[in-house]
Amino acid sequence: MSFTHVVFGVIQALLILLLSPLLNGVIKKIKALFQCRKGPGIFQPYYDLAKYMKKDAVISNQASWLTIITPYLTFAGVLTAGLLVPMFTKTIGFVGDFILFAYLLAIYRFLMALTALDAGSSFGGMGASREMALNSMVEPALFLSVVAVILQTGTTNLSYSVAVLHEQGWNVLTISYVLAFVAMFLVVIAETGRIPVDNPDTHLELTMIHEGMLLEYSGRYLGLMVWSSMMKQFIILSLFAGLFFPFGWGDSFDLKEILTGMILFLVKVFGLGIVLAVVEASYAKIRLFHVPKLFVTSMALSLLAIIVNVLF
Amino acid sequence: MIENWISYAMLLSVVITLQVRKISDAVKLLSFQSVLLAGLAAVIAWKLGIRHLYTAVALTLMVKAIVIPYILHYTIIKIDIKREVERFFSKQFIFLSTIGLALLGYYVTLRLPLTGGIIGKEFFPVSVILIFLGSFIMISHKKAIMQGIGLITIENGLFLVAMSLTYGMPLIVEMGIFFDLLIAVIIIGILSYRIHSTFDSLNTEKLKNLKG
Amino acid sequence: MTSDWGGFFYFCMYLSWGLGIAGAIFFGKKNTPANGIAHISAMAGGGFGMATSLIVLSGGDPLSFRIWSVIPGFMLSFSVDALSAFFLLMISLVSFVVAIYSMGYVREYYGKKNIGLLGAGFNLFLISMAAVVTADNGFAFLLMWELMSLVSFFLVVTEHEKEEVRKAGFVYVVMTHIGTAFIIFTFLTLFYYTGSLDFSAFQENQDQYPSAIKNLLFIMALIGFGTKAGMVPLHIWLPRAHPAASSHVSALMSAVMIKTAVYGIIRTIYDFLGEGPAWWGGLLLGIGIVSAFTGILYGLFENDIKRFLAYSSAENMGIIFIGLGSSLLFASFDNQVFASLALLAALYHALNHSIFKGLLFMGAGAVLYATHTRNIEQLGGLIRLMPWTAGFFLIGAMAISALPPLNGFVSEWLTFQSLLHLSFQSGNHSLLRISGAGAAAMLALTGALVAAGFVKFFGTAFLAMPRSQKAAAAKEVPFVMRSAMGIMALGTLILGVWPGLVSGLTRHVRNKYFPGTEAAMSAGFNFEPALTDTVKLPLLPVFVTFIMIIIGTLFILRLRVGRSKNQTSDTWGCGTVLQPSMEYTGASFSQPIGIIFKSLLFPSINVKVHDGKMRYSLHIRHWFESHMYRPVVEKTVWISQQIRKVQNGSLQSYLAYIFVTLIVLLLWKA
Repeated sequence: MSFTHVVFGVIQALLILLLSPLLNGVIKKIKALFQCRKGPGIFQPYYDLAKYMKKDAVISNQASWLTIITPYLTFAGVLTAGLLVPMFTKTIGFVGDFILFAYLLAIYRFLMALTALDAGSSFGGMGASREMALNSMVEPALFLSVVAVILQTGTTNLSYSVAVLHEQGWNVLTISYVLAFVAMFLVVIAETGRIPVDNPDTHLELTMIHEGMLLEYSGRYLGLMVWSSMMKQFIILSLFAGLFFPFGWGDSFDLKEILTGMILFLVKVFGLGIVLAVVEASYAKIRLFHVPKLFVTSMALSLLAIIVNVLF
Repeated sequence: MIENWISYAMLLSVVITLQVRKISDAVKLLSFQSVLLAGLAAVIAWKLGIRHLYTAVALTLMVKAIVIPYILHYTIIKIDIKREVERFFSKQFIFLSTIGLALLGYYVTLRLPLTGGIIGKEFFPVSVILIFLGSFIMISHKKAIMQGIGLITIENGLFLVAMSLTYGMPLIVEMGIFFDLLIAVIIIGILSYRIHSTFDSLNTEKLKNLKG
Repeated sequence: MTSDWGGFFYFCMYLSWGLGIAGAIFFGKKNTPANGIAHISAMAGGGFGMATSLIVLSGGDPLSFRIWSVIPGFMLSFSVDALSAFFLLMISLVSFVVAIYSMGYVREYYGKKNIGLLGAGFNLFLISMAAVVTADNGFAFLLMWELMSLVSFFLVVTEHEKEEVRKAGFVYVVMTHIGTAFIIFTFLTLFYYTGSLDFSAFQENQDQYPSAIKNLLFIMALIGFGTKAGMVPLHIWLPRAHPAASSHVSALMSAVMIKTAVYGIIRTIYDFLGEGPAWWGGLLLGIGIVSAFTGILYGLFENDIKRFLAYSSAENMGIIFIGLGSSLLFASFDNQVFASLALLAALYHALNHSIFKGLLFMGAGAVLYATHTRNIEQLGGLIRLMPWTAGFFLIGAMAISALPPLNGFVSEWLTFQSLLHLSFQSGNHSLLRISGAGAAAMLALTGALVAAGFVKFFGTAFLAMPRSQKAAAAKEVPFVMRSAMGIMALGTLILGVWPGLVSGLTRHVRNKYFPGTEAAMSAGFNFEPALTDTVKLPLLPVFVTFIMIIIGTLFILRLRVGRSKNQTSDTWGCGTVLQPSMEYTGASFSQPIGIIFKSLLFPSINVKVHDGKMRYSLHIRHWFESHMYRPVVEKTVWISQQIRKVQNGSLQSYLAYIFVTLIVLLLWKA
């Protein structure tokens, strides 16, 4: 841990904090355009967050201290996870262990699902139950797809893996890699809570998952939870971009290279965000109990990728 | 020679015991059988001049011919059973089995590799057959009194075996056995009484109800 | 510190526990003194046990004692080497804490049970467990193993007036003796080849066992110890016996007793059998995965909190077996460093499980103490009535769900690393590489199900509104019980942020089996020097960042916006007043998972309308019970009934048996 580590860590944290609402705004805008609506401006999420933070909260009288501490813990968990993902430079890897990353995100999921049950509302329970059920399929699918990639790097350290992938240049494009790409893309859709898995725009439909869990939140607590979920979306897309678009990283601490890396990174993440918006606009939400089939497909593809990688 | 005839008479009495209808008749037959046994022992004692056998004769007469039948008789009176003996099998089957067992006993005794001289070569098979038939009495009858009778019959057979092979057992063993037998019969008497007062029947089949 | 002190503490440990037995029996039904002496002695013994094991673990010199020669050749001898010391540490640590807890918990039984006997049983149980892991020959081991099984059986049937408890006790005693039979057979086979029951002889004559016999011994030891460990499909006693036992005993049984089986497996395979074919590791790994997955999957559909925890124990034993299996696989491919890493994963997880499962069972016991029900569908809202218990249970739940910064994460991480490196480092063993990745995915699946399970159980039992009068009347448990849970909760945090502690404690164990690898894992999990950068887990900066973010967020919000003026209001109930009956139940929580895994669980749904009320119930078919145990039990019962016809109660038939035997004998001789 040197001073540069800390500086880059802070920069990365600010990047995640500040750009994740923008990503959400862009996705919403694109989606609106595809639906022939004007849609809110791309800065709307910032206004929303600012308003949430200013308002006083109304807490259910059934709720406990858990409702109060969850937003802070989940916020910190997601942001810390974000620091583990290599974003714009490969020389500085802040620990960057994939398993640690996955389990830091699990803090977010675990506490959010618990708190959803805190107020005693059925909507919360339903959301939590579905979240945990689908998660039981998402988690192995995520692991398999990531393993399919890091099998060629031989480590769970993300920074190191990304560096190895980077060095391979165009040789990285193998059948196995492409299969893993498709597999992980399915997982990304689920992890970011998008159609066809979950509908982020609905509030009271019986199909919702994530929004149901936040129903009893208000004020700064809601703000932190919403911000966490936006950050998570940003981070997952960064991970995806890092693993499957391994180019544009500088080797040195040269300011120019780092800036190039950063700009390329933003292009990758926002590009992926637009792809997500297109997917969301062009598909209908699938029935809840058909969703696991999506993950089974993803797992099958990952396994195929692993087998191809091992045998050929 | 006479001892052989006495032993045949004993065998006959057992065969009849297996066929009688009234329990009191069976008890009388038992008494008769024991008297015959005492006679047989007396004949042997006289022929071979074995003194201590006379004591056994006296004991047999006293215990097996008088005391035990009396106890059994007393039990019958006390619990007031006038009914017939009850058997598991038909009379014909029992008769055939009796013959079969007799042949088996004869066959077994012929084949048994015995060393040393046998005094009563003729009545040795009879003694083994008595043991078999005594067991058969116990197996084929339902009433507890008949088990007592079967037991005495087995004991008579054993006495006869001992006599035919080794001039009878030592007196002290003989006395012990008599004492055991007496106790056994008293217990059977008490047990019959208890069975009767509990189940209102002497039928040992009722004991099945005690099984866990 | 020399081994003299170690020996002294070792004897003091037994002495304290022995004193506990004597004192408890002496005071008998005088509740308070019996409770006091039994559990204070148990605590003292736990303290001495920890001292003994720490001396051995830090110094590495084994202690050995010959205690009593029963008859020539049958010696009760004990020794504490590094492996024994590690498990002794686990046992004494947990017994220390559970003893504190028990002081409060047994008040539940005042006037109902003989506290003296209960306390004596508790201490005897501790003695037997400590003796099992330190036994130095087969005779002492088996004797103590059997003592442990019997004492735990009697402790399980403490509440024998209940029908279900008696049934549970029966299943337990049958299963545990099947296991013991296999262990006895294992040791006798070893005795046949070595002519001695000494563990050292078993080890020295390693090369003399033919390979077929080695395989047989492996399988037998696996079945024998696997039964005690609750390895699927031999797990069926776990979810019966653990809920039946009183909670402080189930805490001990689940946290440490089943670990003695792990000890037995390590002792038998690593020490006695030595190197074996690769399929040993593969089999162990496969069993581990099946145990982990099915254990938690069945557990999810329980509504009894202690049954769920018992299933979760089967799951965690599965994770330990995954570690051991990977270790054996690495060892058979001569990858010493990772074999050592995987062994560390197994040992670490064993220690972790004993701590958080102890905590969770104590928490479940506290709930039982306060509400007298284990059914979560009757609980709810306990977080406000019992805030301490709820907090500690939550910490336990987070630890077992492997959330950082608690201890479950570190061992889960190590297990993942073991599996993934099976995949990374197996060269051209294609099958192993693919199955390593697949196993990691299964472990991830298991982890997700565990999290779902604990969200279900914590959420239903502790959150929202009370669903019954019992739950509404709950009161916080006595201070001793809370403090015991607090110690364990602290333990989960310490082991979570300081992995170097355990890697240091297991240094000598790993060095014994995989020499030269102990330096590869230095404190803080920087793997030096062979594995720099690729395998490391410096948790400290991560946690510092985590805490700084929390503090920063609080600080900035307070500074920029000010304090949030929270007001309370009713939960939105779609316009009606929210009733407890409107809350999400545990059964409905797990229903989606039942649908996802329906091809494994065969759920059957029953909807009954009775008196205008609708009852919905979901039943899971337990495959192992319906396809493995039931046919065997039915066949056995059928055969027994056939044989039983012989014993018909009729005097005449018995006479006939004797008579027929006599005739047959005569004919045979004639």
